[in-house]
Amino acid sequence: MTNLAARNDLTASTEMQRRADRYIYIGVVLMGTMILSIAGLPIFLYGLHQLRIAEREGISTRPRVVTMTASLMMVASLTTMWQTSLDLFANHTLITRISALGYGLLFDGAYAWNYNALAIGGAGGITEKPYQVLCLFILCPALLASAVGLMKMTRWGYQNSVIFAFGNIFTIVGYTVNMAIYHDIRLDAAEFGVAGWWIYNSVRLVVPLAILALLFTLPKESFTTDQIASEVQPETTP
Amino acid sequence: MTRSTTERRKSDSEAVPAPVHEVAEARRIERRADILIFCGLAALGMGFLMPLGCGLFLTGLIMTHRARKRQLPMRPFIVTIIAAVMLADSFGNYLGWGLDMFASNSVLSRIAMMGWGSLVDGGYFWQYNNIGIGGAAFHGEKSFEYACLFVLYPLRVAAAIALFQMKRWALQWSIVSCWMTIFWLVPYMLNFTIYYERLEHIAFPVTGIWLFGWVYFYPIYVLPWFYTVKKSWFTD
Repeated sequence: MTNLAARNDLTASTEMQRRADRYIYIGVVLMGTMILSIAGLPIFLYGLHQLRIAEREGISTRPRVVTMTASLMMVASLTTMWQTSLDLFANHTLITRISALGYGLLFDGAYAWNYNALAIGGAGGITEKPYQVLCLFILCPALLASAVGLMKMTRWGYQNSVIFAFGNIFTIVGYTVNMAIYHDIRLDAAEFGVAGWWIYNSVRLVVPLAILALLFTLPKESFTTDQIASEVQPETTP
Repeated sequence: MTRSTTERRKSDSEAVPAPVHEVAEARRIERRADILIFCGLAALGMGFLMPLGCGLFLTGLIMTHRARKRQLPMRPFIVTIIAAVMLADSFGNYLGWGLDMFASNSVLSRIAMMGWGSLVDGGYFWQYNNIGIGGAAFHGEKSFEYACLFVLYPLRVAAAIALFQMKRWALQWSIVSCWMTIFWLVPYMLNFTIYYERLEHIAFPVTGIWLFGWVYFYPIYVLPWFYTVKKSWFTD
């Protein structure tokens, strides 16, 4: 393939990718709001469909598994940010009181029993607060940024995804210990008990493990957008 | 064998390959010094054997320093120091938090924790051993103990030992472990603030924990070094 042809192919592929990514990003953001999740799903799927069409036309696109992982990271981070910010800052609004009570009665009693009874407001399990701040201000923004880097197939996206997937595992271990220590109000008092919590939070537990498994098995060389772009620079005649 | 340690570095720009016999000599001295450094750090981490640990550690450092003066191709000094700090931190916290988690009723931990608690952190003093799980009376502490003892510190010890061997993956895992420290420190400090009772009615409220706590912030200072160090130093 001549350099010119390669460059044309690359332009077509980035163009196609950008168009599909727009739908994917909009879908992911909508799914991350939880309330508009159902509206986000078809938009997201349409974006994936466009990528598949591009693949069928023979245009080189990003591996599908990378798209799925990055989307999973973004949805998990956005839903966590949504929940934690409501509980931290807007714990007296109607929407929080309704949704937190539902979540609390079904899965995690700290969001039902003694809700808003603490001076700081929000969940009654006070050790929840440090983890909320950690997720809202450090972990989830970092995961979001890494996911965007991953979508662009950059090397820093790959490295930061690994770093923050490990951070996510650290957070989950601490959080689960908290759940176990406060089992009397958090798990015993909820409708579905321990099983319900594991089922509901399985996405957040699976995400870091899935990312790690994926990133360690994929060839690192595929995460070098800049390098590919520089390789197909047009030939310059002296 | 790492490239950086087989070169005699005059400056960063000009690296001259060292003769084979010098490399072998450097490896031999490095291994002997590392045994002393490891033992010293393990003793340092025990707290009670700190003077002995300091002696062993400094002896090891002096051995490497002398070899470096003889122009032998030794491991960079800064790598030794950073890996040593990582190890000492991990071993020290293993002991302190391990005692609080599993041996909170032993005489040793009751004496040690009372001192720490009445001086710096009331969580280890007021109502100590009063909750079902034992140890520090504030629940939030336990989640960090489990997460650090079972996730962060094993990872950091592995990374530090590999740093001594100048492995590439050591650099990557050190970065992961430094970031994980930030994940630990931020919520831990918030825990302190929420349970501000921990900082009241003790000898050195607030200032005490900052005086001792800054030691734990070193990964934040080290992180830029890991990002800017020449990666060619660390090549398997």
